[in-house]
Amino acid sequence: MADIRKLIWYFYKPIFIWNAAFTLVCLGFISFYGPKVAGLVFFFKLIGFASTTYLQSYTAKNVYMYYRNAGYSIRRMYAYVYGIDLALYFALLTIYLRLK
Amino acid sequence: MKTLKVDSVELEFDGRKILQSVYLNCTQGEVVGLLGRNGCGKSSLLKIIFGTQAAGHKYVGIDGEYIGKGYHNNRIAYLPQHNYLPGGIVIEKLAKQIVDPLSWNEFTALPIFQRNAGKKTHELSGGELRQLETMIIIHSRADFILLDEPFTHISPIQADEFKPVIRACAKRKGIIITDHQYYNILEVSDRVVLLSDGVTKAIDDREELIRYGYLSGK
Repeated sequence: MADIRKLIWYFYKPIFIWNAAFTLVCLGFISFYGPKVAGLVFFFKLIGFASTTYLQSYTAKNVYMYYRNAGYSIRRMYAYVYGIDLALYFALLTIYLRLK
Repeated sequence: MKTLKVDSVELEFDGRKILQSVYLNCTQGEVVGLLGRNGCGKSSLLKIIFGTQAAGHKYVGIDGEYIGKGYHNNRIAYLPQHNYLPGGIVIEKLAKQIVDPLSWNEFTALPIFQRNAGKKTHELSGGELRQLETMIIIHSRADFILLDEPFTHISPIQADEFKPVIRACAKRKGIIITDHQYYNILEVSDRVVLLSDGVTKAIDDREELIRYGYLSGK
């Protein structure tokens, strides 16, 4: 089987900045309005994932075949990548709340 | 030797039946050429086998085991008509994820790889990229390979270069190949199947292609 860690990075690389921007905006909202808006901000983060999936399916659908030929479904690749992205988001949020 | 069996494939678009009770089989060690006019459903059939297109009904199995998605666990690999390699990553790194480790030395000995191993996709010409993408699929881990128009967008010399590679690969894999350059398909295939009026017909000689209206006969 292919090296899933490398495949995840190849899949994540082109969408990393877009999702990182959503993460920073979310953290900015929480720092400005306080932790009480965390639930609403999380919904905004999910909108970020939806927009990423939509943009990718328009601009990069051709490369989906690369991951399928490596043996992985696109749904699975998105699940891995968004899981990692959410973990990063919650890690940064935890660090921010502890430092505050 | 494993056998890929495709049976009872039905597909329709807007009420128009494209595929009706299609049957196709391929055993490791052979190249099956799939011919047909534009829009007859050749690419759709390959995508249905690979698992990326839904069909009204289908049976795809390897040695009697039903396969829902052909790409799961690297059972089937598919060369689409379009370019599929992601940009921004060196070709060698991309190839390593798909090429069978047992075929890696054979793959890296190919001139097309040696010329372009350290490059990224945007640095290659259209023909070079197509040839490289085809070679990556041919040398993949999959037991069965589906090639959709591998001879399109490449020069005749490039086509002649990789016909022997397809033949060599067929010693251990089953290959289903389709292209409008029918002479290349006839040359590289062990047997030929024509997709016409939504069904597959086994072709024994060139005259049958004329009789079924695929070739003009002039």
